[in-house]
Amino acid sequence: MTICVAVTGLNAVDSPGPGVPILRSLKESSLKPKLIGLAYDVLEPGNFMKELIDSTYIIPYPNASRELLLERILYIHEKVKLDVIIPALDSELDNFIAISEQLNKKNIKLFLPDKRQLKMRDKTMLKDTLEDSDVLLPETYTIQDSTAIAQVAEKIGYPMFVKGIFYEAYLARNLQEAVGFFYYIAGKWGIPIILQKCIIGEELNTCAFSRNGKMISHVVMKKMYVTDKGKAWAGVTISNPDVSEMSIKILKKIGWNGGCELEYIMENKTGKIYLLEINPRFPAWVYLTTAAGLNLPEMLLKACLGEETPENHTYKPGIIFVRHSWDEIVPMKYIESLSTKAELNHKD
Amino acid sequence: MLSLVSQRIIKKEEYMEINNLKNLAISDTGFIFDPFAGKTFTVNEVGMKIIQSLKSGEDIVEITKQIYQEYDIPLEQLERDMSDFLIQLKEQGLIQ
Repeated sequence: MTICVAVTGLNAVDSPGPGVPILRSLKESSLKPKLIGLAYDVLEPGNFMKELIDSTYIIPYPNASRELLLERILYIHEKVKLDVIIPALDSELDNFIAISEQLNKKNIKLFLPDKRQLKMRDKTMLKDTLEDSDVLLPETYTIQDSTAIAQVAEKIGYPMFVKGIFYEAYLARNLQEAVGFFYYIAGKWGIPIILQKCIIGEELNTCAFSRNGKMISHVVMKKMYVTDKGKAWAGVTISNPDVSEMSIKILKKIGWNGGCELEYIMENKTGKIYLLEINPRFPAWVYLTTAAGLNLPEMLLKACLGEETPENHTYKPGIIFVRHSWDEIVPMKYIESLSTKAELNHKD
Repeated sequence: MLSLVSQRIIKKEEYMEINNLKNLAISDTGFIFDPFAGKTFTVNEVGMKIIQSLKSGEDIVEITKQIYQEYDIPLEQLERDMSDFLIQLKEQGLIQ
């Protein structure tokens, strides 16, 4: 019987979501699932990738009520009989965790961290979470008010990173820039805002799948090209045992369940590795793990289905991704369908 | 003359981070990938020979002698070039 899997995070713009690469990985899975898109907006590019998905549905934004989300999912379930949902965005996890029991009763499976784990890896909580470990963190302060920036700057100096609670990070070179970024991010994602000491070095990220704190599989990537938003636009798989061991240690400490990304920076001056943050879902470069020999989204899917996945950390170093933009030509009837019915079936 | 090389850069333990060198993927074109740091480099024929020799654990004095015998380079220039090259390898984190 074909398994039906729905994936969110279909935005594939300059700050891309992980949905499309998750779908791409699942397309190559031996399980040969039927794939469905769940989007927040008509123009999310993944909606139109008919080589990946059979159909796509608009779902309510995360700030809408959980009841609305549940109602919408159950409607989609009636239409396509969902077996698994893979949420791929930070901001929606709380809602999916909250309705996961109800979905489970309808035989729709998810494999998610619990609220405690989610909180432990929160940018504002990492310091406390890793307090008694030897994991290095850049000096970080959480503020509610822009007047606190000057005080923090006395401690960490400029440039400093100004970060949102969910998304976005900007490098501020002076107080004026920091205040500007504070209000820009607060207006978009709310407060608190995080101020972080800037470490000059190379960014290394781990994409991992973990079950109850045991890192089942992972791939380490070095960013080769970074956009002005700090997103990797090209990267290469590397074999760095220090990063791997640190990732194992951190995920064990949190007891992490599910896919995630651990972002590190190796300081140029000292060679020391600092943990910058942990994203509670697969990153947008997750297809690189599949290309390097470890299909992490497939492992997550198997976990959703209750299958045991053996530990496997053997992947090919030196596999490179280069991201690019592509102008998809879209028939107006697709836009019409998504705008009027909030769904689009590519098989019609 | 080779004693100068010896004095300046003789001790293996001072310059070699053997694991990093051993893991390098080196193609015939001189293109090198460091799978630990994710860096790539391009070296010429002599650079490739030096890295290959270091990888296989040869002593720097021996390597210098071999290059001196094989290529028509004045010894002083060879020493300077060798020293510069080792500094570059150090900067790339391949040797200590």
